[in-house]
Amino acid sequence: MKKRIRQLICSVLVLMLVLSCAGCGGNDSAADTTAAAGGTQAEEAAQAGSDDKIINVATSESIVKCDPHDQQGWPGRAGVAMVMEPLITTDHEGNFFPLLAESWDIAEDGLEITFHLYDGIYASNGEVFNADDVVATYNRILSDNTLNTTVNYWSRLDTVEKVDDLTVAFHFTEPEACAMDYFTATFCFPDEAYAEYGDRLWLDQIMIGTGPWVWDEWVDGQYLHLTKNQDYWKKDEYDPYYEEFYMRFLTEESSAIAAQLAGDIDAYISVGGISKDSVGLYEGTEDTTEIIEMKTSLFHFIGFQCEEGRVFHDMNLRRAFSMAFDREAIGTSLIGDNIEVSKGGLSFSFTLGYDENMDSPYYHYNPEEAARLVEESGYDGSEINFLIGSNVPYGENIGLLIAEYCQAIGLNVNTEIAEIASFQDRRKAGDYDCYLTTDGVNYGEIYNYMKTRLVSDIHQSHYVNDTFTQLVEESGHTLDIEMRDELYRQCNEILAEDVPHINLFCSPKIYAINYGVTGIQLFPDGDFNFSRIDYDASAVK
Amino acid sequence: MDKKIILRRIRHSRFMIVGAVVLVFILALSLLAPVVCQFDPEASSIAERLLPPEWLSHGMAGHILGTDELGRDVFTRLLYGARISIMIAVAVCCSAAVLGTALGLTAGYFGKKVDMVIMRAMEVIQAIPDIVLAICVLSLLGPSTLNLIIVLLIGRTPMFCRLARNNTLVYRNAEFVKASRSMGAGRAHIIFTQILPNITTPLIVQLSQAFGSNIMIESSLSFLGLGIQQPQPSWGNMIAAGRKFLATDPWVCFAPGVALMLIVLAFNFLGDGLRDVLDPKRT
Amino acid sequence: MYFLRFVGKRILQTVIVLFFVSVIAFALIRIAPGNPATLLLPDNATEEQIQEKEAELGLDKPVVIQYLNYMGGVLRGDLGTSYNYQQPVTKVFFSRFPNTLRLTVAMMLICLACGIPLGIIAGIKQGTVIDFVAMIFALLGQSMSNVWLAVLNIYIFAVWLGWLPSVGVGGMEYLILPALTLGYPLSATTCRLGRSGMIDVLREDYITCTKAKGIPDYLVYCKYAFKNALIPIVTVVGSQFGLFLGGSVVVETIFSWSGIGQLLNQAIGNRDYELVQSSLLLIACMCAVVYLLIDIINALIDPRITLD
Repeated sequence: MKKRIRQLICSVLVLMLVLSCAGCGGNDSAADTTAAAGGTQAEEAAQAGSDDKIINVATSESIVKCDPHDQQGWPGRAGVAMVMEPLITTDHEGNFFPLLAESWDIAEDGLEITFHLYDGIYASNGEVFNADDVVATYNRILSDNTLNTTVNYWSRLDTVEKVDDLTVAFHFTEPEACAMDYFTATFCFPDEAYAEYGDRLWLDQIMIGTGPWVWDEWVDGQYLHLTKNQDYWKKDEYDPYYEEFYMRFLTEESSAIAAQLAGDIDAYISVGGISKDSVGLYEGTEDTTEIIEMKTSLFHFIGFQCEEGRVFHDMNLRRAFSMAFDREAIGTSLIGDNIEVSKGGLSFSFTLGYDENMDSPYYHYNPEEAARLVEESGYDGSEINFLIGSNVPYGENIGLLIAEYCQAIGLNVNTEIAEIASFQDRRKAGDYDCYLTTDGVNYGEIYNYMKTRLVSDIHQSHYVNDTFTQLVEESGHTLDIEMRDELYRQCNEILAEDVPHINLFCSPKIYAINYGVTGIQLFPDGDFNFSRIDYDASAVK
Repeated sequence: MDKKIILRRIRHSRFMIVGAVVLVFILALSLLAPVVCQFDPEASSIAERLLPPEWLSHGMAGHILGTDELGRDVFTRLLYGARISIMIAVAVCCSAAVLGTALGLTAGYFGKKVDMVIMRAMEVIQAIPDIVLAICVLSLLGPSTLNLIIVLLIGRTPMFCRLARNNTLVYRNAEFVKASRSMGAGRAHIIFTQILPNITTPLIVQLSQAFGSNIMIESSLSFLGLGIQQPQPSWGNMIAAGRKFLATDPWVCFAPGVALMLIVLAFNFLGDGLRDVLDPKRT
Repeated sequence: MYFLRFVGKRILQTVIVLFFVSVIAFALIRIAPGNPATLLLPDNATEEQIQEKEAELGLDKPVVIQYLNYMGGVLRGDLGTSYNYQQPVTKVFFSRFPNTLRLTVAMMLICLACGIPLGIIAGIKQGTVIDFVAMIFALLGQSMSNVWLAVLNIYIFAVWLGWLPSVGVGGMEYLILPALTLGYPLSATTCRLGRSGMIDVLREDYITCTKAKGIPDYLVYCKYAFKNALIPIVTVVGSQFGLFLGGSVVVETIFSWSGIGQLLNQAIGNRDYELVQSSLLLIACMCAVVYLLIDIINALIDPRITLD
């Protein structure tokens, strides 16, 4: 009897275990449908309309949240930009074009900017869009000091006021040199929708906007699904062939390329670009896929800890480090032939302050001179900690190569790869001898870089140069572009001499887009925009 | 057990001999690396990136297995990497086995509260996935070799503990143990001479398989950037770094992958052979 | 009676285990260097803004208070809000969990279908061709690094042969490659365990005795031998199941299979404290339940494991 009971309990338990798995299997066959919906919706649409009205674009980073004003990564911004629109757009080379605003006036003193909106704008839910909506949007931004948009762009914005139904005036506390650029990156939502839903507008993915696409669904870690706004207010200007848009998040490069080769993806827009070594995988697909190489403003730089008592307090050691390695060789072999090497300071052909005659001796490959400087300096051979962020593209390899070059001239440099959180923590505390990371120059503007990293010294590098500080402060207030250009040129001269930072090279980015897909805007600062994506049958080979 | 019997069984066990031979060969090669290899495993050479294998066309002076993405000779890195990968696996496995068995024996033999405390502690450790533990601890302490060993050790102990405990429970109430107890044998005597030999067989099989999985877990951690740090070579970080090139320059990833397979096979053969040889119930 | 008391005791112990896990999870993620507030704001945020963010996240309170608040929430069913997603942790976790569960179940099925039968048969037919094939199968499976196996699978089946889609979540065809990558090594392990377990058991006196009694072979194997060979298998496989409920970070990343392994890895990298703590707690919960079931099954299979 006991034995039977035991057997019974045993079988019941095993059954429970199996059922719980199967039950969850039942649960996730529901999830299966929704998850597979991503895959099978394509098939359903194929039955309904035609399969090729769905466009799949892969990005290398995921979207984490839908808040239009708190996006940190490019894919998130690109996704929001398709659904909500900014006042103006830019080609990222200093030219601005109307979008929600038809025209604008900038006051002489730069403290007031006025926009005149188009008449007849309406959101995807039919709600009329006018000055009230712009005011509501920017008031939200001003009310929350911890949003990424607020922190990045609007520290100098004081108030926004509605002048009349189609006119909005922005008042600044100080002239904001990059204000126009910032307007192109701030997305507007309709005020009635915001009044009704509040933050749930993005927390619940309601996402009502004036854009040409309508937010359907974002599934964490998988995809963002948008459908065409059939009633877009600028429909006569933009009416795409595609009915549905998928942004698929594929973090592994080799997997994403495999997906494109297999035909699951129509375009692969990686945030860091496709690595040079992986381009060879596209061999044989020259007829279907176009490999585009875009010059971008992404550059690598090395920062030094210049505090007294530390190795790199000695300027000559910094110069020695800078002369120890061959930038050209490292850059071309790892990244590609189209890199642009800096000749001194933050000076590239697209940045303000570019001087084509700049040719700092410390930015040349000169190991003999470097070794001489090291010997003269009395360096004791102690270990130099070279901190590299794990998310820096090619960071590990660049760091290893540089470390080897340095070892060859007598500097005992050891690389340390740290994950993002640790890297930021240590850099903020100044706990490094030197570090390698990247930055981008949006719209050619180097003010932010100069101000935050060198003058305000957020990385605790203890580098101080009064002339430099003065020049940078002045440039922050100057609205005249030519004056700023001259100021930055002088700044770069100082940087090339003192070498508190070494600006290495500027890398191009490689993207892969199938022929026929048009309208993907790729900007020279590495940003991208999908809101005008379209299909052109004649471009297909 | 009689030494003669063991030696005779060893000579007859094909598995064990093959495993042992391969293992000794790999170990010898890795120890002789400075003599055998002409290149510095950590010296990069930009001009010689991703060269295909020359096999033996230039003898030992050429790049037998080609070069990796920084121009370093793959064969040299393979041999140097063997040292650290094997060393870590052995260190982790042996210490985990010893620690786990000790804890498991204690838990199984003494039972009740001791058993409860130890097994729940093991469950707490097992409840946190290996990788997660590794990520947290290595982020905190820094990814050095010693820290790596410690983290892997913590992660591996529960399995040995559980196995030892369950098997101890089986034998604890066996006739011969009861007989010894009634004859006045001390606890230590019973544990070491009577229970321990009987539970060694599954432990050895587990150990031999654990060597393999430990070498491999280093490659998972390297994939996440937490394994042995560059420029020091290890099979794990060679596979992780080389996986991008599988389609275009496969040797970078293949060589360490195949090497890994070989050594794990060798360990497994050895383990199986040992199991057969040491089995007290075989005639 | 005995049995029910055993179950009750084990459940109580499970609760204690979970409590300790919560403390460890809470402490571990906070000890790691890095400040979540800094990571959520751009590089050029001021100290003021960082402090405001910290206050928003509740990080300005003393650690003990934070823990008590957190546990208070947990007991009420509120597992916190993710810093990055700004959504409740339960929502984020359970939107991804079904994927991991599907993968784990598929992996177990492969293991059950291939590994165990092969191992048992190899054990019974020791020394024959089947045994040899099984051993090769098992040894190969156990000796391939999962990174290598994953990348190889993608390259062979998706790119070269084009039989299966390479990445992404979806229906059956998307599940096969990742499940295979995880399932093959596991079936290899169970095959070997089953084989050695079977061999051991078949040598026992009571088996010879049963055979001598004239009971047919298959009955001997199924009724007597199989049960006892099963113990180590149940232990190992069960613990692996529990382990994989935490998701396999490597496989999920390579196959872009958005499951909780990948979620947890990203959350740790982002220092998303609440997401990490609660995910670990949830995973530990599930593991604990699985282990409880294993212990009970083991005890029922082999009464020699006395229940005190």
